[in-house]
Amino acid sequence: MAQNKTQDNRAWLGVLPVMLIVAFSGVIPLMTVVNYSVQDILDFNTRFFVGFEWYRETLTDPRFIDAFLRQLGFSAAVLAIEIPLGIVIARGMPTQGLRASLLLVLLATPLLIPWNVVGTIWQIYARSDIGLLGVTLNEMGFAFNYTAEPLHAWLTLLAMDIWHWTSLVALLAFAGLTSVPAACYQAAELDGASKWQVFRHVELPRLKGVLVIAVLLRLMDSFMIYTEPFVLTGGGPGNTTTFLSQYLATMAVGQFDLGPAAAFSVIYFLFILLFSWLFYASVMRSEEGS
Amino acid sequence: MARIRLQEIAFTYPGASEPTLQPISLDIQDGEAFSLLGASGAGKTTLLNLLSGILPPTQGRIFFDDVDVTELPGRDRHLAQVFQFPVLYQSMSVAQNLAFPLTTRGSTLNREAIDKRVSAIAKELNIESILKRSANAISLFEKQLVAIGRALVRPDVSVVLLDEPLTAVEPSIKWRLRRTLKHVQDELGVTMIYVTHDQTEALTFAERVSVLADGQILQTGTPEAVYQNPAHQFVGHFLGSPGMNFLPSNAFPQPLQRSFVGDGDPETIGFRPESAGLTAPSEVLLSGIVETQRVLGTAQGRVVSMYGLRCGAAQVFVRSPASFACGDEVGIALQRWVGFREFLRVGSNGAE
Repeated sequence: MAQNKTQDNRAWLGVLPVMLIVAFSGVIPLMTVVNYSVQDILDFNTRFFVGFEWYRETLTDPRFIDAFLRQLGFSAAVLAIEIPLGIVIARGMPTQGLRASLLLVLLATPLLIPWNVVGTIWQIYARSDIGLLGVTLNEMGFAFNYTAEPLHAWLTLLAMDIWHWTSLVALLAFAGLTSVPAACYQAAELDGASKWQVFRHVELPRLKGVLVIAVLLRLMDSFMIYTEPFVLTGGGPGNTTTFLSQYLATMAVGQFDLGPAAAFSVIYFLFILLFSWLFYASVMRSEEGS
Repeated sequence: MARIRLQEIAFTYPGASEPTLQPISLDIQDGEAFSLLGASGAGKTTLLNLLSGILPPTQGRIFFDDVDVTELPGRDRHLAQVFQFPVLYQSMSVAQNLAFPLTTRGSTLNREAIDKRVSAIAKELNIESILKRSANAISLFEKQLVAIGRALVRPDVSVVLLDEPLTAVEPSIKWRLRRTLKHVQDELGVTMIYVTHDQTEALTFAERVSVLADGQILQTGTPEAVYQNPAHQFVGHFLGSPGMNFLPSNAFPQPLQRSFVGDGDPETIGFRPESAGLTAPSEVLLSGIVETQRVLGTAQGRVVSMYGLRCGAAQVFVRSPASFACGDEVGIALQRWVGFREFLRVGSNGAE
């Protein structure tokens, strides 16, 4: 059969539409950014090629490094809290009946609220002068003020993110848990396994797939957090809640430093790619090792 | 190891109008290979769940040796179970799987004793070569072997429950697993309760078999007794392929009918296809017309066939080396029969 196949380059025409769509929606915008990142643009007609200058500048910029470390800390804290908490919630959920359905709806609700609304809710809720939470805390003797205290601003942001996104982890883990066959629990029970052993040896191995997805989603998403700190304190007090995306936005939209901002974007993109890949590869490696 | 005693155990699912299990009493000896045989829906799994403590009985008591375990949770009954599909801890190696029940609460064995026990069980099941492999990376057959090993590894195991353990295994290696199980049971003398709907598995594995139907035990006995001398028509019908033939006793010639009367005056006579012979028709024999003939094979140089015969309104099957053609009228000579009245056995001419 193989030798009967005719060579016909017109077949390329068949994939042309897809290539055009991908080019217009993905490749060309990305290349624009890459293009900007190696040039100094003064106005529409005046530009200079500067090579890797903007990259060097960005990577040595103390404000970038600060924002980057802050970002790492925030993502690590979000993952460290949301993943275990989501699993705990999922394990505690009833698996069937009206209560299960109601809980699922309740859990899904925060996921449907837009970022800036979540930010506004918490911005008001935690205010020390009129917010329910802020006033209550102050009445109880904690001098809570997220506009002045960096720690308070961080705690508010973490609470916001946990409130908004733990449900996602919980729902994914819940889906994973429903796939554990009843016989596995029964066997563990008869083997005399403790609650921790049941979790560690029966549930966790079967949750691995969904947890990888949950960690990747939360990692990428928290790494790009923008709206919530912007709404809450605009990145303050000081620069203490200025994360990468906000610094980038200030550069690109606020100051129109397109060259450095483009270099920043590329670096930012590569870091997210790198972290996700590192995580995924290490999980897959441990899979083979076992 | 323990003797298992069920005392008037019954179970009704909450809200159900019909009981799933009628009151059942059963006495399984220490070290016995016991089998529960029944079609699906007969209540086998419910009975198993009562034994393993997943369900509490609606009434009755369960004793392991002389300890009343009715109220004890499954983990405190020291039993082990092998499921239809191999249940393993997939993130562990085979050896870790086998050792796991020895490392959980209440186990006092040290590392050395555990290793010794694991290698002894692995040797018994002939899985020493895969001990270091991941539990994910072995064949289904090996997985079920490891699951069986995990059930046997605890020295204090009171009873091993086997819930249709050959379901997931390919037919071609079923016999291997069955033989291994039987061998291990003989060797270790563990009380085993084997639940299945497959008569071959039950009859070849067990020392005694209970036949369940509609939540009732119809008969308990040795495979031989259950097969040859069914206490209930259903048992005769359910065992064997094809099952027992049943004919109303008044379908037989007068002299035969008179001989039945002395044996409990049955209204139905049952006989197995291999417990009758075919000869030329005669007045003193049951007669039938050959409808179908299927060659089964040869035995001692003679071709054996399964004959389908029409006897009045009923069809019966007889396995015979005699040679007849379709349409022939033949005499059916009963060698061994069982008489029933209202489905229960009232007499027979065979040995008990």
